[in-house]
Amino acid sequence: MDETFALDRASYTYPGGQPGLTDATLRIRAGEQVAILGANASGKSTLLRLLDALIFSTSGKVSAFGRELSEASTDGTAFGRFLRRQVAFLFQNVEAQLFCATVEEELGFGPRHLGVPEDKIVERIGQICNMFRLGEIRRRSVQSLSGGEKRRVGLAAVLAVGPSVVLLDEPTAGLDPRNRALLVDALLDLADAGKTLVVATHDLELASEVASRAVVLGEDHTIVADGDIGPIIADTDLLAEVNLVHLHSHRHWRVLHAHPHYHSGPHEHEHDPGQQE
Amino acid sequence: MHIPDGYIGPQTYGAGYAIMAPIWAAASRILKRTVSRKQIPMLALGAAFSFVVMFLNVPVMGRLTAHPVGAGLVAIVCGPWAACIAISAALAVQAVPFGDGGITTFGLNCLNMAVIIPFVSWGAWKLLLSTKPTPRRLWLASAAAGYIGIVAAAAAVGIEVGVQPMLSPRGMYLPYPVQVALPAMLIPHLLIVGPIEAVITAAAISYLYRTDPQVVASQPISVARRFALLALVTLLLVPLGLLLPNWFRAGAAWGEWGVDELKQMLGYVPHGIAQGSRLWHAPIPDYAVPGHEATPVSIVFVALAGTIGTAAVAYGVVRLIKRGGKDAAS
Amino acid sequence: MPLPEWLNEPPPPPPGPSRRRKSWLTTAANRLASLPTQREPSAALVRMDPRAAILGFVGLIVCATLLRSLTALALCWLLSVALALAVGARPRTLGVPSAAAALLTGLAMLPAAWNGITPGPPLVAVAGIAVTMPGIHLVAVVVLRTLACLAFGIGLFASNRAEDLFAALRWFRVPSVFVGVLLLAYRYLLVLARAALEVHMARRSRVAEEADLSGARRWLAERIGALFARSRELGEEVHLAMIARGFDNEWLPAPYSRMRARHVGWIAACWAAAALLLLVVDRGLWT
Repeated sequence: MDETFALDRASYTYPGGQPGLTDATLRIRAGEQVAILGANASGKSTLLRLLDALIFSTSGKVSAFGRELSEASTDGTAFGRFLRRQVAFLFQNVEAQLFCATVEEELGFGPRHLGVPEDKIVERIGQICNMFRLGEIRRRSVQSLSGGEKRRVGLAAVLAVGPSVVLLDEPTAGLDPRNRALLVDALLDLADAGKTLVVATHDLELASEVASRAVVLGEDHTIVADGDIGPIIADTDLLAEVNLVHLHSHRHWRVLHAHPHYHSGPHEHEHDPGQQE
Repeated sequence: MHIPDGYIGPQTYGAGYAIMAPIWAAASRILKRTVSRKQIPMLALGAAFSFVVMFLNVPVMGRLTAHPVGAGLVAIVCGPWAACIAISAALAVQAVPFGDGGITTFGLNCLNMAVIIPFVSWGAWKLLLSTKPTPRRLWLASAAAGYIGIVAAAAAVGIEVGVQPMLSPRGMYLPYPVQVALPAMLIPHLLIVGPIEAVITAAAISYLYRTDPQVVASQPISVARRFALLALVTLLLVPLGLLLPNWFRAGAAWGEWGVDELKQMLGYVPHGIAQGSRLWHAPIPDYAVPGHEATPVSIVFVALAGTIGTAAVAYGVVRLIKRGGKDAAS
Repeated sequence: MPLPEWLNEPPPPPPGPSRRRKSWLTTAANRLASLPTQREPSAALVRMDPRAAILGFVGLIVCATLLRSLTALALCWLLSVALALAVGARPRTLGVPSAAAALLTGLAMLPAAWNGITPGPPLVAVAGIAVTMPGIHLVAVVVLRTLACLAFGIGLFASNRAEDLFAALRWFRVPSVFVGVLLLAYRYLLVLARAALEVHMARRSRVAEEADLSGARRWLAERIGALFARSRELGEEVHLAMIARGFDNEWLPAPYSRMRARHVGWIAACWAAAALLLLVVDRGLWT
């Protein structure tokens, strides 16, 4: 498989001095589905923004499609346009994601600004509306959409450019169960179609549903684990260390239990006769 | 401060658009150079912010509230050109879906609120503030900037309304001459709206400075530029000094009557004044070029000459004092 | 974790009814909450091309600003009300602002009825202060003109969504940077207004009565500062979202369809009505 993204000891520090990502080395191959796991402020969003050349590493190197990402290589260049067409980014803040007046304009924004002919744009909008069941709300203004609708429109809008890579930042945040299920189905369809997916999330259930590999960021903004998702999710000590699960204690009559706990999945545990009041 | 449609005639609102068109073009060009790709979203959020600020109610007294404009605040933080576009957009959003303000008068409203307030506030702030202000100085400078900006805009509105009877005597627009319109606009803004705007601007800037001093970082302004700015302001105000006495039929300044004027007013000239007037004969009396009558042009020319002369004398005195100080030290 | 004593105290009995004193916070919060959410266009609205709406209604507004005679202005006002209702403005949307405008303009113009401002034959004279016929005429002219312009404006805004009207400005060669700023500003003003409203409601939930007005002003000013910081952060994020989708400093709008014959007919009808009112009724040409 071709290498799509490569980070070599890449670090990013925000202008105010706060570290965003520290000393990250990572390879993501074409067609992989990777979950970037970490607690809040661990550097997940920073990593995604580095991959999409929205920010540039303050030290180390970030490459995409074999080219190093820098302002010189991406700003106003043919490679920059290629990158924008190939890489789609779904932001966590849906209000920042949707900036056009109507759903239809939102869907057409990316293709129009990347030079897709107008007749093709009209065709694509129709097809993507069918894919994401947006036909009824196609002409509605963005302001009037519900949270779930906005998220669907956001994903449809970033896919409208026909990317090979999709970066998603906490895509299920704030979604009700039905909209969450719709979104997960869409991501699975994209994975089946061979798209490279990089999903930044602290939702372990989502990660295990859509990704085959997990990269774990610690609270010190470094990569602390990188491997198949099954063993990583099962390693509750690791997850507790990076604040992806919490220690949960409760009583059964006089028996006190304490164990790592994450809120997705069934709440089953063994009673340890030794843990008594 | 918004002038609605129907109040003023086409010469005035047409002039508003004619003045604003090159200003908008210049603002767009300048910002494209300095802000580049971020221009559109940052200005848009600035405009949205301005709109929401203009929508807020500030408690004045009891249940009486006022609406801040916030244009001075935006100008201080983003610069006057960015504020020009942001406030213009905010006014357009107010006018279109919310029907607040006019369509024919949009140009003039932008001139008052998107040009006069931002540039005057920003200029005042730059003049009053140094690079590393103390919190108190920052507060005072911001308050003064907010106050001066909105009062300047109120004066402009008063003049724009006040010239309607002159420009369109048959047009049946607002009939209040400048003598009525100017005080009617100035008094509430000097006493109520201005202080509110001053407090809002100062407190908001102080808050922003506390959270992130870079937001209101001020580039140092050289002495020469400061002087040039002051000179420009004075030049702009000079015509007012000539026109206002005419409009208000004020006559000579109180207490500055010449011997002839006193004789006309009192019927005689007091003995002491008559004696004193013989002691000194001014070389350039009444700001007239010697041998000619005083005209507005001669007044401006003579005043300029006097200003340059005064500045030269002051410079010479300062040099002498400094030299004297150096000699004393050595 | 044991609670402190003051948190453990039982609630006191509720007070009896008392005089209601509406605080400025309530007024402010109500005002922010009244910012309208976007009304979706009805079938009638989407039929009106925004360019035609702008050309037609703005032409009529300009005409109204040029009219001088009471007859012409009265006819103009009736036309404005009829058109506004015809394109879908609700009676309340038209009536409430019109009443407010009539009252405010009437009050502002009242001194003009006095002979000190508008000399002429007196209609009523009391203690040396006379209200003159020309003065009353002038008041009526300005009030009617203001009402007509307002109604045409309401008609324009009712005929299309604000975003469509803003986007149509590109067709009039307004630079794309302005149109882009307008469209984005409209998109985000409700986001910021909601943020401002939440802050007002948070204060309202903790403050029963505002004793210290200057403290309240300072609080509001600091919230304005915080809102500004938030608007900048949002602006930065929107900027990233835009460039992630290929934006490169030039806002490219969707292309325009050709104007249909009925839209051109609408423009012609508006301008013909304007010409008739101005040249025939007002200026008396060809009569």
